[in-house]
Amino acid sequence: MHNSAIMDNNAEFGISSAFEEAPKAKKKRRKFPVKKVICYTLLVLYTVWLFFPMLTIFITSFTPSEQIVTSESFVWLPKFTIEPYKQIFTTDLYIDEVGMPGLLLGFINTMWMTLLPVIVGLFVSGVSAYAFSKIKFKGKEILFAIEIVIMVFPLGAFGVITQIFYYQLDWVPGVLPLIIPGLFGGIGTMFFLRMYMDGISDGLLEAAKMDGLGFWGIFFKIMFPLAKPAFIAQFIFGFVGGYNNYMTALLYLSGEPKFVTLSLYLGEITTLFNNKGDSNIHCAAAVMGMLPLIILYIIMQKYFIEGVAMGGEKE
Amino acid sequence: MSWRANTATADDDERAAIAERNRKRRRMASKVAEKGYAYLFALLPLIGFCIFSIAPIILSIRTMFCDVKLYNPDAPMIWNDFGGFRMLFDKSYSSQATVHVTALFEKSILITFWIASTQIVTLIISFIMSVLIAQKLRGSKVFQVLFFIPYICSGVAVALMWRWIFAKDGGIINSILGIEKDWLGDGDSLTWCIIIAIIWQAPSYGTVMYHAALGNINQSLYEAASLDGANGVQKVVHITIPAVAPTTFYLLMAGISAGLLTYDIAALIVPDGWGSAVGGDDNMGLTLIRLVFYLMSPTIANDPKFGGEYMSAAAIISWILFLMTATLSIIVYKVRNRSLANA
Repeated sequence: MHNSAIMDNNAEFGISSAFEEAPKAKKKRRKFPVKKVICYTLLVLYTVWLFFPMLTIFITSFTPSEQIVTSESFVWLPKFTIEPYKQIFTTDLYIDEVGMPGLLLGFINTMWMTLLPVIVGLFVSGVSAYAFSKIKFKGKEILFAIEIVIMVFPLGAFGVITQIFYYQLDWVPGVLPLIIPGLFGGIGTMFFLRMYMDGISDGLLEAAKMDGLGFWGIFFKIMFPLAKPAFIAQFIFGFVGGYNNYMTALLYLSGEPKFVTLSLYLGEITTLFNNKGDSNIHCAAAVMGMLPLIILYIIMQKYFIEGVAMGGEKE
Repeated sequence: MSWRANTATADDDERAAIAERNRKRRRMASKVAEKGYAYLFALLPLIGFCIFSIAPIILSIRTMFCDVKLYNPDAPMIWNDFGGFRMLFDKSYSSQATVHVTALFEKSILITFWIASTQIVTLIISFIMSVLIAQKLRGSKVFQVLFFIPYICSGVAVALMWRWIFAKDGGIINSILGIEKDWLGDGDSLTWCIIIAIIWQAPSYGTVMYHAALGNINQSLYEAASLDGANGVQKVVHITIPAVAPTTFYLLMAGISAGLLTYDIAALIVPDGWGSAVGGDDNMGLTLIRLVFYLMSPTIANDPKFGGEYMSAAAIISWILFLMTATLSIIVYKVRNRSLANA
């Protein structure tokens, strides 16, 4: 039974301490760790495939325009310049129109347009999940059955045609189509949170009721803290989705400079800066667009990975 | 109590609830209040769904059969005698219109299926990478963290990145190969570029999901197999793959659906100014969603003669896409349940 474990140890021994063990190795020839080498090779190759493209735009974002125009091929070691980043923040049509660089305004807009519906929606879904999980009320089973049926159907295909509806409401162009639907919470989110809350013992709630906690007391003092990992998981899904959302913003906000979002700005960058040799600016914009979430991810990577892994198990 | 009565008072209740919550937080809420909140919040997601998902779907059904003036909501609805269907499926009819919808539709179906089918590659990559990470080598945690990064990159930034890599002058590929091919210049190679960009980004989700699934496999199965003399490949084929089958089905469904609905990368990787257009004569990167988008853009949908029929065609395409993704999820849901029962 412990065979494989021992073999693993030996293999690790071979790599990690081959140096100190060199004299011994002469006596007893060690097997070359073929399996390990193959694994590492594949992992490193895949890492290169993922990060080589990012490295190239990073390099280009610090390359002067003249070098891009004159060299006519990719410059691996450019004369370092931060001019492209400066240009994004100084020579941009948005400064005349809204008094702020488009990238900055886009970031601010993206933040509030994402956080508002995600946080309010998460609160609503959370309370809804609490009601479905822990409170007895008439018609609960029927309601829940309806919601499960709804969840099975993917409605992404209607994303574009839905604009007919918002035109009828006269909400276009404007931010309402991006904000209001989210405020009602989501059935999928509710379902996921409920599954997590089902694991919280009823005895705990009974005890809390004895201590005089009401509906909201129980939600905020017991359900929310205990189901926090589930909330964080759903928050990350919502936040990443909202931050990177392009199509909805394009449908409802385009043509309104004051509502520009980060994705819209990045989508426009090639028309905003369209001179020969402006690709350093495009790359700088792409880097600026990716960076905030990557930094957030590096700080909180444990939550991201666990959250996504958890979120997928909701079916 | 019917739920209709509840919705009527939902807004008032919510406002009152917020004011009251602050005052009475520490006081014991009565059973009645608890039930009230429970009903209100249990219904809110459903109400939101009915308003913001069901209503547009009903409108889209109407749009399939009637001329709808997108930019003039008060215009009367007029039965268009299956104009949208003819526009979409009848080549001789649509060739009279300014936009040859049938031809575009046929082309975009091919492109969309092509893109969606490569999700298999994504799946295989995620599986291999997660199995490698699960070998518990030194530093595998670092690889796991790194492999997830593409998932959080915005599609727009990813499109910008690949546009630069495939650029004709000074692009990375051309610089390395020392050639001057216009990778984004014709339909076929552009579609490959879109697929490569998707394959760069999409496996990160699957890797995390597979990693979680692999962690749930009973380790004693592997130990037993080792005793029986099974090698690594045999263990993967006979233990790992069957054990992660439910995850595979889920990822396959999610991946193919996402592939069928590709928009961001396809719209943004094409050369300048073609964001919502049909991608030139070659219909480059024209996925079905991009076609819907195009048919609903102001200049097209406001066409005085055919505008309504273009809109109808857009609604019909949306429904075709919905039926495809829905069928897929139902099949996968069934197969997945069976595999869960077997596991």
